Amino acid sequence: MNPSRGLRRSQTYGARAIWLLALLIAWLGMASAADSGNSQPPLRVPSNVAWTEDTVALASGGTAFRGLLLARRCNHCHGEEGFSSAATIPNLAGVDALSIWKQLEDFRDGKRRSATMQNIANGLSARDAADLGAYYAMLPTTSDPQDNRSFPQTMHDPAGATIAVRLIVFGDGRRGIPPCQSCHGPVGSVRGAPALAAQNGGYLQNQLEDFAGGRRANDINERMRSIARQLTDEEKTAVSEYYGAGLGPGVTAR
Amino acid sequence: MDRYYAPRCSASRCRLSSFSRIEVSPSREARIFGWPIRISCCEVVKNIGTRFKTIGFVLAMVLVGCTILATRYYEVDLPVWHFLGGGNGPDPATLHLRGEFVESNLGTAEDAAGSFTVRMIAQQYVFVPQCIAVPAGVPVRFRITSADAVHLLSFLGTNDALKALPGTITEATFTFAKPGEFTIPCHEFCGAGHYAMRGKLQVLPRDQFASLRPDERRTCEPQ
Repeated sequence: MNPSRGLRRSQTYGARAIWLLALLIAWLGMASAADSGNSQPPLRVPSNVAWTEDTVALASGGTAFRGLLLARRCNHCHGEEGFSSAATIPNLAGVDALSIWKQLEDFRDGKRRSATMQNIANGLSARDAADLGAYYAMLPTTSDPQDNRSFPQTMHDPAGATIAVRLIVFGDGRRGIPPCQSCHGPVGSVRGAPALAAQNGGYLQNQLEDFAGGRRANDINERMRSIARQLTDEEKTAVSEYYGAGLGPGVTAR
Repeated sequence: MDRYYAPRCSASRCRLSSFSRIEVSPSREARIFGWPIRISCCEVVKNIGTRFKTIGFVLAMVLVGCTILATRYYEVDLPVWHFLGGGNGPDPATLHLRGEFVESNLGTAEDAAGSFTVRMIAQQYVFVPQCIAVPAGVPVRFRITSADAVHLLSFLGTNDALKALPGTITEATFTFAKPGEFTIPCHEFCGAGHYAMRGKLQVLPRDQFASLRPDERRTCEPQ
């Protein structure tokens, strides 16, 4: 029996294995090179918040009582019951904790612009923002008003109600506008999309115009910007006033 | 009461498929591929059809391979890759932070070789970008992923569709022959706003589609 025979055979198999391995590595390298070959435009990040499990746990794990104490610096504008006295300032009562947390983070990162709010958010930690979120989420939207809230406002153009109901309930499929209530409640909900049932009309209209004009661009994956760009001025006004009048679907403070 | 008599052993009674490999151990226990069976009379039948076994094995492997390739080609929901080490795509929660689906990189891109790639995100309940512009008569590569649920971007009037799965990049190349404006709705129920989830596809004649710089992205969103 020739002793070198077995050796040669094992060498052949070894060489084959190495060839196969080399081919595999080359293939993987080519596949990854093909994906990273394009040069990207300058990176634009809408918001540093990403709804990973850790972030959701942090943002939704606030303590409402601590939020109550922190909210004393918010009361002047947003009202002691979470309802503001001016229609252009948002109501915070009943807004979910994740939405409030995300907006405070974005104000602090400069991803959403407001001289007042950026200033205030700079003095809050992520934990503070979560506590405030827990507090405001707990505030009822159906209580007897004890403050001088501006909600609900009257609709300037009651004829806009038809347009508003259509957009809120059905959206407009021809233009790719989903119904408001599929994300903002009560039919569906999406992380970071606040309930609009008890929101002020003037504030909503400003936000829709800012989203459409690109002045506000902190929505993750351009969701609200894509929708607001499609809306006409008439529709923006109608939807905002309808919600501002406390007529929107969901829990309201009528 | 019938009693069972083992038949007498003869070659004509011993019918076996030539594809079966039957082994009888010294303890008279017959097995096919390791499974115990009852045989009628054959004393020792060993290694019948072993040469067919190799062919059978190779054929089976080829069939399995073809099935896997076919499911990848037709985008059937058979998550083979998920068992082999997870999806190939990015984390749906962090699409906007890094990777190729950041919002500044979405839309139609043209590389130095002149081939077109469209990158899109499907999410509840809009496609981003909502309006995409592509040249006609040229192969266009689509890369799409989902930020939340399963969506299906279907090109109305054709048999083409792209399934958008969270954590997975779906890629396909289409050539649009006819210029025009087409609706590309979501064709997989994805939630309350599904019925209004529609994108727009603008197919422009090749000579009207201005070439793009490598770091330029094109959409037809209203401004």
